[in-house]
Amino acid sequence: MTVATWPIELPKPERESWQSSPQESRLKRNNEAGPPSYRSRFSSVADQVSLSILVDRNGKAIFDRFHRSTTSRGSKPFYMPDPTTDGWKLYAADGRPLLTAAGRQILLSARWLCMFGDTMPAEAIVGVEFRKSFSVWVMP
Amino acid sequence: MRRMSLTARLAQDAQNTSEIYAVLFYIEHSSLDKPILLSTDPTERLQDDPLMYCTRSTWMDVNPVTDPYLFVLASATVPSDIDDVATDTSLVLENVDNDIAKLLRSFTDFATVNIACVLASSPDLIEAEWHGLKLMSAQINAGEVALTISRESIEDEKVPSGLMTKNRFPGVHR
Repeated sequence: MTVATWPIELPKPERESWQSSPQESRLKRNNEAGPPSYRSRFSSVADQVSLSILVDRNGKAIFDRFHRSTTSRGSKPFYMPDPTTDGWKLYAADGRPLLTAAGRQILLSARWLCMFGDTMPAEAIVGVEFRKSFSVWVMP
Repeated sequence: MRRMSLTARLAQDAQNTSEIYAVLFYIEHSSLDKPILLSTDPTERLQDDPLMYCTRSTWMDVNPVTDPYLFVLASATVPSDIDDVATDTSLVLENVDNDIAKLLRSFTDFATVNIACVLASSPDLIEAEWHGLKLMSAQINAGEVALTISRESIEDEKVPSGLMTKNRFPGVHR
């Protein structure tokens, strides 16, 4: 058994619906009065990321097949390129792009191990395209 | 008084702290090829497929590279220090696999459980430890498995108990 991989045919997620927040990993100490105090409960913290993609009919079929059969309706983990890092250009601190010896731009690369989030993917029609909104848990 | 590290004492007194207590379990039994090592903190990812987390510690002279303490979905209490009561602790495992019940019902004698309490940031430094406890009972239902770990009950003497014979007590039969 191998871990599934996010279909590369699907586009990058949309900017306006992007939301990322870490899992609650704190334990609040119940103070009767005064400011709250916290401590950590566990070391490895997952991140919940909500995202949406705008796809045509073909992309919808690819996404549906990936969700239904490849990940067994969202119960199996999968690898996904980190949309905020993977493919981004690498710059030096002064803003110069970092180049290889051949003069090519160096690109960042990052991979997430994901599970589909607590809510199932939602679909909406936008013009002649489909907007798939879903959330993923990014495993630590 | 139990000796604790300065980090642990400071963490307990601090208003906000990032230190995390992890409880390590070292379970041994004659029918096991090697001991079962469990941890309550997912300190680092061990492997992706299947997804497993672990805590690496040198406690009980295990090799942290080859034998990590595997993270289990569990809640644990450390043994109590109440007067006139046997030291008692419980470990509640999420019942995620049928093999848990199969294994727990496969033996009739006591498994030995060693427990240590560490900080996740310093898993090699033992804050408290309890050795040689026995796995007394396992309550299994669909959702969770509750293991009770204690010393062997003093009422459970082997029968026949010792007789006052001349061999055992020569001073009585003068």
